[in-house]
Amino acid sequence: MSELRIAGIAKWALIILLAVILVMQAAGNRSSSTSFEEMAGAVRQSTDLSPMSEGDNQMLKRLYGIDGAEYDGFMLYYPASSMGAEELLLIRMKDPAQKEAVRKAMETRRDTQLSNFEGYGVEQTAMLENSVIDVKNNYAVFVSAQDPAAVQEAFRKAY
Amino acid sequence: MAFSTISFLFAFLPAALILYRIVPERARAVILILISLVFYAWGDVRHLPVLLFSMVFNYVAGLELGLLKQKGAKRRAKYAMMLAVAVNLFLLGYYKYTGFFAGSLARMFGRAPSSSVMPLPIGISFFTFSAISYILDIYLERARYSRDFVQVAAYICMFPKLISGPIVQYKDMKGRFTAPKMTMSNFLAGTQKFVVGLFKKVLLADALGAAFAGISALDGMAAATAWLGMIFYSLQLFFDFAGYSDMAIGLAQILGFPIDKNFDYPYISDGIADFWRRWHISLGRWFRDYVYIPLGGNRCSTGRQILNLLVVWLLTGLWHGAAWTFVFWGIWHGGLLILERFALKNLRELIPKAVRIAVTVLLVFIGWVFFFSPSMGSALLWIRQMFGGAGLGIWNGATGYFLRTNLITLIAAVICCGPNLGRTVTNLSYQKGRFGVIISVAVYIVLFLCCISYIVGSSYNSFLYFQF
Repeated sequence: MSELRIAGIAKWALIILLAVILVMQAAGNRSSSTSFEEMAGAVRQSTDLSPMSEGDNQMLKRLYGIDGAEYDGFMLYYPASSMGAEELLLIRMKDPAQKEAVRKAMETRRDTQLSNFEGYGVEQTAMLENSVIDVKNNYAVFVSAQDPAAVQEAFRKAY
Repeated sequence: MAFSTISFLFAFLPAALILYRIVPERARAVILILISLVFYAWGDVRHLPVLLFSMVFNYVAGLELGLLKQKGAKRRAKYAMMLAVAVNLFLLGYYKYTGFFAGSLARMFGRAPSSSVMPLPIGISFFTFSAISYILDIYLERARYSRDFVQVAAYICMFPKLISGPIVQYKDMKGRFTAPKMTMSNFLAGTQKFVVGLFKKVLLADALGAAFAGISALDGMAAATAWLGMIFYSLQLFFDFAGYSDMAIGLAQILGFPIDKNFDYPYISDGIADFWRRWHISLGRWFRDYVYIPLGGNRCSTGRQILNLLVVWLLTGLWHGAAWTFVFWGIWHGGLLILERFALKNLRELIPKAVRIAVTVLLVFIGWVFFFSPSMGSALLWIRQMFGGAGLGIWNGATGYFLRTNLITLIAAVICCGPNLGRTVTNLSYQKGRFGVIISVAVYIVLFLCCISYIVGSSYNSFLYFQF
């Protein structure tokens, strides 16, 4: 096969590859049209909330350093006792540009909790290490619980 | 990664330079590619595939185009060139303009724009234009295609110019990556340019940016405050971008690739055409060589020349950003150029040079209002406030506060807009005897130390042109 033919085939193969990647990226980048209530309901049902207390915007600011008023909606459950590590935060973003700030806030909160329990709270540390942060285009969830995979599955299904 | 960060200055750059220096000259281009990919991926690794695609695709497309040219298959070569340019433009458009056009269409049909926005790969406007230059230089027979992937990849991704230019053309860089030489004279001259750039960015642009941010945050502005804000931003933009360009050019020179200057004291221009010969020179040259001249340039009727200029300036505006404010800004400059070239041609020489400079600066600064405003509405509101539209009078407490607290920076910035200060320091280096040299070296060391202490003591400020 001539060099020209190989270059031509390689060029078209790259164009097809690009098209596939961009289509996949666009699909992964889509915003969910699921309402916040619907999403919150699905997430709430997927885990045991009894070891947690429901938090308001003031608690969100205190624990995560973000203002709930700047988002479309949020649902916060934080540990009911000082020895608890169970936590759940669901946020719906107004703008995908808020994604990184939310991700950072969630990661910081998880790291803070990890350092709080490091050295003496073996179970809590394990739970936090297994916790899940899942940030999509307009929704994000952070869950530290016995069954974080179930919450993530419910979140992704409802997205 | 930005040049004005501690991690770049004291970790990445020394490690990269040592690695680049110790390998044999023939292996330097490969090392340059690896260093550049780490540099690009440092901040956000997600977009690395876009850069890798651009490198591989343009190498393959250039190879095919070159072979077709060699065979004399003109028609097939033309189609191959058009497809390669279209793929590059599609990639740029997909990331940069999808949201803009989809949003504009949605508004046109009375729908809410979609909230789904593609994150923009940093530097995509710059490396895509470099890649298109490679394809067009082969097609226009300004340069021969390269069989060596390393040559093409190093040209597209070399880190000094990867994120914010200058947009070097392939015909000027061809063959330079075979065995780049690091010399002491290049190292010293490059370091000097780098320090000057760091000074412009850290000590001038960031301080001016803080002043502009303060004024922008006001609910309403007295006329003089709005003028002051416009001046702060205009100076910030210049020192930010010219500072970055100086650093990029300095780094490229250290690595053995001298690049032409990208700014030449634009705020002492005596006309809009003169301004564009001094501001972002590499972009102006790119549009001239690959759009304006192929469209017919000056060698056609007046009507066609006007159309060509409007096309170029519409594209220049759009290149800067996907927003109507940038479109207007492009047309503003295009319109002024047309006026200057065709309507005021004879009148221009009758006006004293100082007046010409003042009018040019005023028109350019007004253009920047559209550049920094998030929407046409807010740009017009700012201009209205410049003429007392906020009802706060000509001068109020805020005006005095912002002027007083930034007066030294403002004076320093105005002095640095002209060539005299730089010339004085350079002349010292060439004076007979050692005294001048010692003073000159001391000036650069003190400047560098001042920049470092400022960087350590302040939060990171990104470069304005990263968004493009």
